[in-house]
Amino acid sequence: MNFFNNLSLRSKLTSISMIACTIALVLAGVAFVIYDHQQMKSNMVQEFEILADVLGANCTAAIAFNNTNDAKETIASLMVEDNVAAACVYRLDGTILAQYKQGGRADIEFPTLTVDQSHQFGNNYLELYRNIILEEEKIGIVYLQISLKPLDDRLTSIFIAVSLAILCTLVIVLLIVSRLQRLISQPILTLATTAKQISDSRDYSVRVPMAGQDEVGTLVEQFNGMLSQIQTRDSALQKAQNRLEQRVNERTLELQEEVLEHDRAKQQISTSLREKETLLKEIHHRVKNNLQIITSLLNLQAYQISDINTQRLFRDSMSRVKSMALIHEQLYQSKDLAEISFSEYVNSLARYLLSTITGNLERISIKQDIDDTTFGVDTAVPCGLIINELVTNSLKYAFPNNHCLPKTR
Amino acid sequence: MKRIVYIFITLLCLSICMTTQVDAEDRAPTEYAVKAAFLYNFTKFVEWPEEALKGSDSLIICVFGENPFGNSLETTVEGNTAQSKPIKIIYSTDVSDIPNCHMLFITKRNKQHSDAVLMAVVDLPVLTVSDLPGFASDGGMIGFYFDNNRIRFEVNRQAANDLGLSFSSRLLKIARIVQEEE
Repeated sequence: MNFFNNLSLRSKLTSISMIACTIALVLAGVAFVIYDHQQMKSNMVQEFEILADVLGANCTAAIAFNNTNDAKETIASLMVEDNVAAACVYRLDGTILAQYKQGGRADIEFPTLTVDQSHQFGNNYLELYRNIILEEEKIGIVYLQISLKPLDDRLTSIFIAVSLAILCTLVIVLLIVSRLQRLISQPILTLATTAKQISDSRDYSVRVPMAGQDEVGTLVEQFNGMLSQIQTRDSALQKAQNRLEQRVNERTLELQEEVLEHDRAKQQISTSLREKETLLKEIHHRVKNNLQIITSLLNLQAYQISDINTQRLFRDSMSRVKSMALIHEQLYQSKDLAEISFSEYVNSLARYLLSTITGNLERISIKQDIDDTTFGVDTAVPCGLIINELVTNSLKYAFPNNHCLPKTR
Repeated sequence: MKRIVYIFITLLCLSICMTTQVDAEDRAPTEYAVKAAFLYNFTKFVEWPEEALKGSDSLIICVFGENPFGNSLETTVEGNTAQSKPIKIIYSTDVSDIPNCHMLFITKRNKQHSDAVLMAVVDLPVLTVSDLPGFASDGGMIGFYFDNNRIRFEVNRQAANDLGLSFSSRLLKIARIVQEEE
C-alpha cells in the first residue's frame, strides 16, 4: 500500500482502472466459460437424447418381434458418430437385445439396467438412458455411452478464446484508460505544477487555468481565490511599505533642512555675536578714548591753572576719569567684554596713580593682596572710584616725610 | 352338405385338441406365446382402412379353427389396446364370422381350411396371418416361418395393399417380403 501511495496520480488512476477492469473481465469470462460449458452439456444431452430416441424408434419393430439382427444393424449405424463409445438396446426385462462398441472395444461393460430414463456425467463419459416407446407403451431402453472429449476440447478452446479476448480487451482498455485518465489527472497535475512554480518564483500573479465545474474545478477556483487574496495582501503590504519609506524620506529631507536652517541660524548668531563683540569693543574703546580725551583736556586745563588747590581739583577729577577709562580699556581687552579681572585693574590703576601723583616709583612699592575675582561694569566703576580715592588719599597724605608704605586693600 | 362335413371334422379336431391340449401346451408353450405376442405387435405396425375400423368398438382378432395359443393370446392382449381400441379375441370355426374380424389367424393345423378362409376374405380388409408354410405367397398377408430356430415372418405387400391395408416400413424392414405366385 505504501508503494501504491508513492505512485504518480496517472499510474494510480491507470492501475485502479486496470485492476477493476481485469477483475470484471475475468469474472465475466469465468461466468461465460461456466455458462458455455453448462450450455454445451445440456446441448449434448439434448442432441444425444434425440439420437437415442431416433435409434429407439428404429428399433421398435426389432424389439417387438425380438429381431436381434435388425437391432444390431440399426445400432451399428452409430458408427458414423465418433463420439458414441458404446450403445445397447435393453429389453424390458433388462437383457440386452443388441449392443455396439466403437471399434469393437472389449473393455466396455454395459451396466445392468437399474435406472429409468436419465443421464449422468461421469469422468470421461456421458451415460444416457432413453425409453423406447411404441404406441405409448414402453417396450425397451436405449443406452448410450458418449465420450466427453469434444466437451473438454470445447472447454479448452473456449478458455483460450476467452483468455485471448480478455487480454486484447485489457490492452485496448489500457490504451483508452491511459488517454482518459488525463481528464482527471491533467487539471490536478496542472494545479500541482503551478503551485510548485508559485512557491519557487514567489510570483502570486500566476493563475491556474479553469478546468471545469467539478471538484477539481472548485479546488482550482479556491486556489486562485487564495492566490488573489495573497496578492491583494502582498500589494497592500507593499503599498504600506512604500508609503512608509516615502514618509521616512520626506522626514529625512525635512530634518536635513532643519539642520541646515539651524546651522544658518547658528552662523547668524555667531556673526551677530562677533559684530556685537566688535561693537562693544568699539564702544568701550571709544568710551576709553573719550575719557582719555577728557583726562587730557583736564590736564591741559590744569596746566593753565596756577592755583594749586584748583589744580589739585583738576588732577583729582583727572584721576577719577582715568580710573573709569581704565575700566573701559580693560573691558574691551577682556574676553567677554562684560567683566574685568579686578586685580589687574587695581594693579594698573595703582601704577597710574603712583606715577601721576608722586612721579617717584622707586620709593613706593605697591603690594596687592586681591583674590582673582571679576566684576561687571556696574560694580567695577564705583569700586574703582573708591580705590582711586583711597589710593590718592593715601599717596597724598601718607608722606609728610616722604616715608611711608601705602597699602590698599 | 359339405359344410356339415367341415363342421363335423372341425368338431372332431376340437375333440382331439381337447384331449391333447395339455400335452400341446407343455410341449411348445413358447412358440405360440411368441406368436401371440407377434400377433399383438402386428396391430401396431399395420394400418387398416378407416372404414374397416369405424364400424367396431374394438379391434377383433379371430382365431379360425383350432386354437393353438391356449390362453396366451388373452394374456398378451390383456389391458392393451390396438389402434386406440380394446382388443377382442374371437375363436371361431364359422366363416360367416370372418367379415367382423380385423385380423384372422389360422394355424397350420387347419391347413385344409386355408383356401376357404382366403376365399372368404378375398375382398375384405382383414389381415390374414398363418403359420402355414407358404401362406403369404399363396395369397395370405403374413406367414410365420422358422429361421435358425427363431420365429420370423414373411409378408405379402401386394395382397395387403389390394385390400387397403398397409404395413409399416419398420415392419417391412424385419420381414421377408414375398410375391404372390401366379
